[in-house]
Amino acid sequence: MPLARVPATWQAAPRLRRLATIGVAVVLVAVLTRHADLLLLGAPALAALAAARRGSRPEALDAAVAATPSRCFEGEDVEIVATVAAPVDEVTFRIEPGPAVTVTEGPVTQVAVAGQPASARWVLQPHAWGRHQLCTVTARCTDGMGRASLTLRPETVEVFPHPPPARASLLPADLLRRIGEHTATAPGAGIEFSGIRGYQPGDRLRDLNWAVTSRLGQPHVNQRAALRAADLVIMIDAFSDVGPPGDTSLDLAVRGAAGLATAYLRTGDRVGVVVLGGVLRWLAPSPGNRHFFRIVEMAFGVRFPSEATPDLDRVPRTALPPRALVVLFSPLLDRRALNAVTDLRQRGVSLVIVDVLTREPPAEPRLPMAQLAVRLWRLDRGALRSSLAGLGVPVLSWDSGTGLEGAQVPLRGRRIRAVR
Amino acid sequence: MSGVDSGTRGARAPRLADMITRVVTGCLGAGMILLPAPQLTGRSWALVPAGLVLVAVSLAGPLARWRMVGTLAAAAAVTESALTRPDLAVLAWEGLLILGYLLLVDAPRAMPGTVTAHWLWRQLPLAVWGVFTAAIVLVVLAIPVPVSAWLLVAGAGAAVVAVVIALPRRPPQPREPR
Repeated sequence: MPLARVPATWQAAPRLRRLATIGVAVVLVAVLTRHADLLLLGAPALAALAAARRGSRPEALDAAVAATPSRCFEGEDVEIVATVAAPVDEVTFRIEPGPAVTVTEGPVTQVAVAGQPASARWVLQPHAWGRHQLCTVTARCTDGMGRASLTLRPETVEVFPHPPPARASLLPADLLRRIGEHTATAPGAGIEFSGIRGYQPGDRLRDLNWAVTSRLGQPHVNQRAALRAADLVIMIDAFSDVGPPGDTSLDLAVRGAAGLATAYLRTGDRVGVVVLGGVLRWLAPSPGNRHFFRIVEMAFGVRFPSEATPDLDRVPRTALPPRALVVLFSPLLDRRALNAVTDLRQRGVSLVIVDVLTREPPAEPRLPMAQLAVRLWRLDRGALRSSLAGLGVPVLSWDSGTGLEGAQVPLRGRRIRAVR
Repeated sequence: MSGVDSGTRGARAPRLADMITRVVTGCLGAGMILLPAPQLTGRSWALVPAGLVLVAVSLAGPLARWRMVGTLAAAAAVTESALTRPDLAVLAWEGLLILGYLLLVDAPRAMPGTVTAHWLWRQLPLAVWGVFTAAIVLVVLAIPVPVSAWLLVAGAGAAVVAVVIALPRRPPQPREPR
C-alpha cells in the first residue's frame, strides 16, 4: 500500500494540558497561601511534564488507508486497512462508517503503540449501491506531549446493487423476429406444442401425430410455437427519492432494475435503460452479461436533482425500439413521471409499472387529523393506480423484502399489449 | 422492511485489560480524594463525594470523553489538601496519586492486553521522574529553612520553564531561495 504525506498540525496533547493545569494551580495555591509544602502536590506532575520527549516533530506524516476490493455488490465485505508510518509514541485509529455501512469486524477504535506496526484493520459491509467513500478514518498520533490528528479517506468503492431474484416472464404481445428463449404465438421450430394441422408436403415425418392421423384417416402433424427474443427497456424514475438511506425508493428501483436486467440478459434478450430525472440518459438495448455492468454503472449517476421535465422525444429510436417492453420502476410520486407514462402510452409502447413506494407517510398519532390525512393519501394512491389500470398499464407492487418474481405473479402467462 | 443505518456490529465489549486499567485508575483517583479526607471539617466534606463522582465520571459514562472531568477531579484533591494542609509525607503520597491518576486516565480505550502492557511500560519513565522529583522536594522541604518568598517564586519559575520546555515545537521553516 503506497503511503502518502499527510500534513499534520501538532497541538498540545490533553495530558499536557492536564498536567500543566494541575502543576500551575498547585504553584499558585502554594504562593497564595504561603505554604511551600503544597508544592509537593504538583512537583511530580511538573517533573513528568519536563521529562516528556521533546524536539521537533514532522510537519507531515506518512499515512494511507486502502479499501479492497474497489468493486463489490451490496452486502459483500470490504476490507479497510489504515497505516501510519511515523516515529510517534501512540496512534489511535477510529473509523467512522458512512451512511448505510456496517462495521462487521474489528473494534471501532484501535490503538497502536510505538514499537508495533501502526496499522488497523476493519471489515465493512455496504448496504447501499453507488460510488461511496465507505468511511473516514481518524488517526490521532501522540508523540510526547504533542498530538496531531490525521483524517484519512479511502478511495471510493463501486458498490453494485444486489439483484433480487427475478424471472424473464414479463413479455410484450409481439415478440421480435429474432431467435430467443420466449415462446411466441406464431408457429415455428420451437419445442412447445401449439396445435395440429393437416400434413403439407415438406413436413417432417417425426412431427406426424399418429393418434389423430389414425382417427381421421388423413395425415396430421403437430405444430410447435416459435422461440423468439424480446427487447426490454428499463425506465428508472429518479424524480423522487424517499426513505431512509440505503432503502430509499430509488435504491429499490435500481435494485429491481438490476434484478430484471440480470434475468433477461441470462435468457439472451437485449436490455436497455432510460433514466427519467435530472439529465435524461439512456443506454440502448444490448445483450450479454457485460452489459449488466454498463447498466449499473449508468445507474450510479441517477441521483441528480433537477427541476427539468424529461422530453422522451429526445430518446433515440435505438434506445426505445418498437415492440420493446418498457418496465418503469417508480414510486409514482412525481407528476413528471406520470406524464412520461401517458406519453409512452400514446406512442403505443407496451408498458408495465413497478411501484417501489413501500412506506406510507408517517402519521403522528397525537395529531387528530394525521390519520385522516393518511387515509386520504391512500385513497389518492388507489385512484392513481385505478386510472393507470384504465389506461391499460398494469401496476405491480414490490416490497424489497421479497424477490421481484413474487411481484411478477399477477402478470404470469399474460402478454403486455400496447394500447394507444 | 427496515431501513439500513450505519452501525458497528463488530464493536466488542470492553476488554479485560481495559477494565483492569480503569479499575486501577479508579483506585488511584479514589485514593487521591480520600487520603486528605479524614482531616476535612464542616462544609469542606462536600469535596469528597464531589471528587469521587468526578473520578467515576471520568472513567465511565457519557461525560468520560470530556477531558476536563479528570482535571476537575485532580483539582478537587488539590483543594482538599490545601484546606487540610496534611503532613509532608501525606502530601508527597497525594502528589504521586494525582500524577498516577492523570497519567492513567488518559489511557486509550479498548486496547488489547499486549498493547496495554506496552502502553503502561512507556508511561513508566514519567512515573519514575515524578517519584524522583517528589523525593527531592520532600527532602528539601523536610530540612528546616526559613520561609522565603524567593523560594516560592523560584518554584513558580521552574513550573513555567517546565511547561515551556514540554510544549511541542515546529521545525524551523526553510528559507525561500532568492
